Amino acid sequence: MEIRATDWLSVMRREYLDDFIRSGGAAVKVAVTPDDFSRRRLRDTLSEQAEAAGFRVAVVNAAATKVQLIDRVFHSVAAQMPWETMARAFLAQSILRAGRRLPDDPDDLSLTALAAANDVPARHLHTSVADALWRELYRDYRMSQEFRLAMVRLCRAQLDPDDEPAVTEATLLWLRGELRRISELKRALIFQKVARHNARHLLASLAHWVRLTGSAGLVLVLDIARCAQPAPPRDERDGSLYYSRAATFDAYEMLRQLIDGTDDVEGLFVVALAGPEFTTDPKRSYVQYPALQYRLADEVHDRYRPNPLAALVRIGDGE
Amino acid sequence: MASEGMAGDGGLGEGMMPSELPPVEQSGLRVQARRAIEALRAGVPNHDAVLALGGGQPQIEARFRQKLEEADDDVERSTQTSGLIVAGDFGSGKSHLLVALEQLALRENFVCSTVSVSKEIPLHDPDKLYRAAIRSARLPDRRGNALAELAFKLNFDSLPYEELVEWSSSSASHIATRFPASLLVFQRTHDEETKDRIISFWGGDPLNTSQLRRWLRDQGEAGTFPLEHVPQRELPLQHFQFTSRLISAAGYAGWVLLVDELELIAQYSAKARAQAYHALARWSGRLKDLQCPGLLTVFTITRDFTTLVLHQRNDVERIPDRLRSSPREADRVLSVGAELGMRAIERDRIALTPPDAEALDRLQEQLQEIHGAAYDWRPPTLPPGERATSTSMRQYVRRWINEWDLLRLDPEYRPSTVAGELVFDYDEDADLEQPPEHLEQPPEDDA
Repeated sequence: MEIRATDWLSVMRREYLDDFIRSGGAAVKVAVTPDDFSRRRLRDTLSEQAEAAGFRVAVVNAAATKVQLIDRVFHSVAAQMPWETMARAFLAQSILRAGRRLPDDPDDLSLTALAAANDVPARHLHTSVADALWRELYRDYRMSQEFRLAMVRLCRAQLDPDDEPAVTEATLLWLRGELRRISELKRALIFQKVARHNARHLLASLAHWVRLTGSAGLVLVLDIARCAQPAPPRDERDGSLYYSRAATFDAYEMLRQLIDGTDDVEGLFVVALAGPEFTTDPKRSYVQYPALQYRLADEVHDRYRPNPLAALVRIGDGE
Repeated sequence: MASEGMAGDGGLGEGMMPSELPPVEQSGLRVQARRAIEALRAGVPNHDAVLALGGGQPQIEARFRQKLEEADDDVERSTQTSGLIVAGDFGSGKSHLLVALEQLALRENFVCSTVSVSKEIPLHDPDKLYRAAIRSARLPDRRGNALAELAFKLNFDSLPYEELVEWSSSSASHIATRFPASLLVFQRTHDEETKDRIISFWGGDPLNTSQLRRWLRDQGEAGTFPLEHVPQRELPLQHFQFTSRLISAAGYAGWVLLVDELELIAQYSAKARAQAYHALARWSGRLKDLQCPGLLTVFTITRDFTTLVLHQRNDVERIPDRLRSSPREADRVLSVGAELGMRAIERDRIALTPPDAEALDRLQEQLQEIHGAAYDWRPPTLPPGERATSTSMRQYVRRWINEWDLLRLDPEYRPSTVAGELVFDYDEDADLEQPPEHLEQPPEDDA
């Protein structure tokens, strides 16, 4: 049974963006769309809605990112985050909480500018701000240790842009998956690349971090339509990614783990947008992967009306 | 799911309506209630739902509690308490029960890991099982990377730590000398990177032997450990044994491993199923020579697995026959474990008790309260409807939540529920055995 896109979006806005996720909840929804056009429109409208509601938004498309690899998903999300802006926002709030004034230029939170705005010696400020970072950031155990260390580094770079800028740059590259040698991050006490074992923790940490920086939460729009589409012959491909059936199941497994992991996450709304093949393809539908089928199947439903709050909804052709 | 609310948790189980609380607590309880409803709507029980509803299987919970008591002394006795196998129909509350058992074990100071058998975590692959168990491990008193927390909780002057060193260094432990060597380096080094690398090794990552030799040389212990070659396939088993002891040395009562959705092994090939049955026997402590003291396991499986896979597909005869006729000694050893594993599924499984009418009424009342708390409204009591024995707990819960959802969104609507049946396909599927594109990435030096 299908639901109109506008009706579903309206419920998502009211019940999730403006309420549950904003209050610290987490959820994963799957929307099956009839075609590429309606999927793109749903993706764009949802992103706009989320941004307007004060969320950070990341869109990850399975045709461009190997979504079966959670580290690639994290890197793709990280590449869409304004890390320096977020670090400044966190720092500004921390400074205000400590009863200090902010400089007139909101983009300059250097110790020199802060000292001038507060008429105190920079050295004195350095100690109190470092203490606050330790207390409010490093000891916030809802984020993984590597993530906390990375954010401490980004905040310190705002306070003192001349303090090991290469390490700050390496931190950003690490988050985006572009760092070539992990040894460049030793000074930040980060010793491991982002990989499958830590990417999920990093995603959960990021969702928490965006809330600390004043946003309502993180919305991750995953376009997984490509996963269920069989690959065309090689000479008809356009350079985008296609998935073997086994890789499709890996992507479904990634989705299953996101669903099961909502218990440990706050402020994260994942919306997976699928094509019709997701429910109908005899070889690649989600029904073929029981672990995901267990979570999404709507074996109990109303005879006449779809539930827009269900884990899996089918979006109709109409507006 | 019975009505055992968990008193004293400060959560949903205390029967207080959010509107009776101060605004901040109201908001917190609303989110908790929403989390519970969201999870139940998706058929994934979560901690909030279990805190509110209880485990619902008092007999199995009592049996598990008894196992926890036995397992408490396992490390000291060098034995492994045999694990439990819980059977129930699809949607009967197996996963819900596992969350309840996890909460129970955490309260008894056990470290808990929960894994679902899946493409990424095939039961027959001990390396993947171990890594998944470590990734999901929860400590009773702290969050974050469990292995790092365990490592930094070690008291090097304590008797339990001394016993860990002694056990790991003795030939009777049958574990490689890289384990005691890594303990020594971890204890003595002040270098954070070295500590990080050792924790990664304990978590299942490879450790470059020449690197370990360098660290030992730095500590003046160059010749203390032979650091022999260990076949890769043997390491995961040793990791399980070492980590169980490490958990004990860090002051916890033991390690509980909860494995959900065991029935998915039906889709493996016959050889992989044989390995999975063997793994079941092994990890549940049923193979005397391959025990892992300190580890207690609970597996869940669908009730019809025995009929459809062990008997109709005839795994119970075909798998041992095929293995026994193999010229390879390893296959004959595998055959013994596989038979034990299948026998355990057949004879030792404990069936979930289906709820009676009274329990269902009580459950509906509880869910009514949670739905009300989640959305700040008063859901109506729903007509009981047909209560067939074939209706699963999941179907009841989904029906109630679905109807309340629709009624809240449109009070004029009169829901009309249709319940279908989820049929699990036990057929083999080779694509489920394809390894994921990238395996665990070793640290840079080992690449």
